[in-house]
Amino acid sequence: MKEESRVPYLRRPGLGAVALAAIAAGGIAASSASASTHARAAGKYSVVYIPGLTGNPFYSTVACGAAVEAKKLGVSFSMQGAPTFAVNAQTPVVNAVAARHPTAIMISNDDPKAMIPPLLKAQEAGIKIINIDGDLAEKSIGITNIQSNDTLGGQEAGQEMAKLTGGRSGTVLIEDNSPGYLVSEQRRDGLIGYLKKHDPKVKILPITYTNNEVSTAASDVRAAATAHSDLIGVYTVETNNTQGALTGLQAAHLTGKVKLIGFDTSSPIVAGIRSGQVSADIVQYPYGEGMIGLQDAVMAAQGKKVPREQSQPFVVATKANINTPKVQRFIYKTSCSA
Amino acid sequence: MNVPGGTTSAADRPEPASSAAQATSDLLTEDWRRTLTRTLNVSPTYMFGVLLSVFIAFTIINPSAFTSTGNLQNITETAAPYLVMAVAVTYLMIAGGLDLSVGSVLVFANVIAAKVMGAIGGNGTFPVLVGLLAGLGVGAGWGLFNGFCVTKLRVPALITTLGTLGAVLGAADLLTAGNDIRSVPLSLINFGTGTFLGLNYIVWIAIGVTLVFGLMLHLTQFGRHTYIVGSNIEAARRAGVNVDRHLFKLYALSGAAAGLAGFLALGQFASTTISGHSTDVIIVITGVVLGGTSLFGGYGWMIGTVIGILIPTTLNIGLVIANVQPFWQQVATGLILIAAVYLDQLKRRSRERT
Repeated sequence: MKEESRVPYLRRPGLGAVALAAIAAGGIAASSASASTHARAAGKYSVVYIPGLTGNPFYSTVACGAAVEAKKLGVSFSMQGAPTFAVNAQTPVVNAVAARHPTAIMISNDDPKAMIPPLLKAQEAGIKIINIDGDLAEKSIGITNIQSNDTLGGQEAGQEMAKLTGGRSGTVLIEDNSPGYLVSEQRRDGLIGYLKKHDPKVKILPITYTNNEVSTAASDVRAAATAHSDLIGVYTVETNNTQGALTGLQAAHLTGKVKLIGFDTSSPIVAGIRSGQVSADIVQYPYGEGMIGLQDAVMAAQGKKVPREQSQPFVVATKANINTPKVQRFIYKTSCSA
Repeated sequence: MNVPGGTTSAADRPEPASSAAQATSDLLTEDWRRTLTRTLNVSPTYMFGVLLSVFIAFTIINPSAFTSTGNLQNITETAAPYLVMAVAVTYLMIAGGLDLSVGSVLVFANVIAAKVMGAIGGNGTFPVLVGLLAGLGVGAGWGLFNGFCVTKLRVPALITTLGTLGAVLGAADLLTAGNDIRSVPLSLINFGTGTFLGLNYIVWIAIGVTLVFGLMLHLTQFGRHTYIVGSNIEAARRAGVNVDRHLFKLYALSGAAAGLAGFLALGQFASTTISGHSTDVIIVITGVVLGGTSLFGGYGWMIGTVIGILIPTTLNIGLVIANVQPFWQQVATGLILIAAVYLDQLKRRSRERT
């Protein structure tokens, strides 16, 4: 019953779009023949990964892990995405990819609810959906979700922060991308919850939003340090904030005095960890998520069962452990030699 | 100056009474010939050629996927909200104005309409209609604010709308703390995902808006005034056009169009899309300029805007289907824009020489 009430608006029969094609193409007879068998004609699986946005080290590393695994398994793999993190940018990409009818779509969803209609359509067309780092609200869509527990990651960051402040009183600044994203909220609330409980002397400043801009993250840190002489820690959620806070603290000659705990990695962040300018950094395992996602695609295509939830671990990278193989495995790849 | 449609016919229609019947027929064929060469010479014609080539190229690359019904729906549904905004921005740019705030106004109307519909509650037609009015209303409201700053306070349009681009989005964030709102009535979601003759209702609305305002631009006095204001603002004043009031209306139109697009987006995505419209204005202005509307006002065609919006959309979706690395989409769209404007310049120069 509940299912049924949702279905009508999700189904789009559509015939006369062909008529529009005829107009748009100046009379090309457009056959709406089934697009399905095309991709599988070679007797080979094809997998497309759709990231939350393009040009992000985390998502690029997912693609890298998937690409390496695809080569190993003889699967054709590609990545397609939009440059902004938004449903109205991701939806047309999903639809266009689905038109090519790959075996499976691996997707990092930009919204748990708004991405349901296009993905349901793709799933109804027989494409396996694999959610990576962001599940849908409707669990019947997608065969699995592969993700780290962000609340846990936030708590680990809180633990590190408490270690660094060592019970001193002072203020902590949190830098976030933009409001309204579950992943960021969990990372944030994980830290806030931990500090409130275990380190009540620390005062948390109002959260600043950087819109994923390195320069804004840098200037916000400097502004906070100017306004609050008792600033002892900065916690940055996601790559660009971490990178920005790092350069901001350097420019203001506050490195060391103000401890920085970051999230995600990029080359400057790794350099910062090595030099100790980033005290601790919470790193997810996107490479592994990409690898597992691709394996799942093949398994599902062969009719094998895949667990619906697959939680991935975090690692806390510090100056002391950055060169160990265990941590190195987690570092995001900026170039992928698949 | 070769000004299309309205202005020329408005200015040089009084025929000398002495002209004989034969001369009239000569004039007619001459007129027809001129119309034909002019049609072949304008940007929309060139750009239609570009769109056609893009379409044919992708059809060759992957015929079954690119020409599938689903894909054509994808292209038209993606283009529809941009088209609604671009129609109004075409007016504004023909009149020598500019509106950079459309994407932000869209988001604001998006949020207000969702809030209003949520407050009324229910899944019927009533909350949807009130939501539509609210979206149009707040959109037009911000448009009037833009118009007020430009015409009364004499702040340049570029600066005014750059200001509202940030301020309006900030206001929308203030209202929601940046969290998307999902109080969209089921009836609107059904409407936003339903189809008629294979095309999404939202696409039909975009087509309707384009037809009505396209005809209005090329056939009515309101349209002619828009061209006159953009060609020569001083001449327009002396000819008795109330320039300020006209611009006021156009900014309100631009805001209302963004409001409508924001309302339609609610039906499309069943949620507000606060973070998804920061580049809308770039897409809209690219479309309008690709379509041949002059950046300096006084010149433009509505059909050009339709083609101009369809080119980047078709290109982006086509490149995904062709499985080209995503970054190429941005590169390709940017280069096509430059090439289009260059072509336009070449044409203008050759026209001025003859």
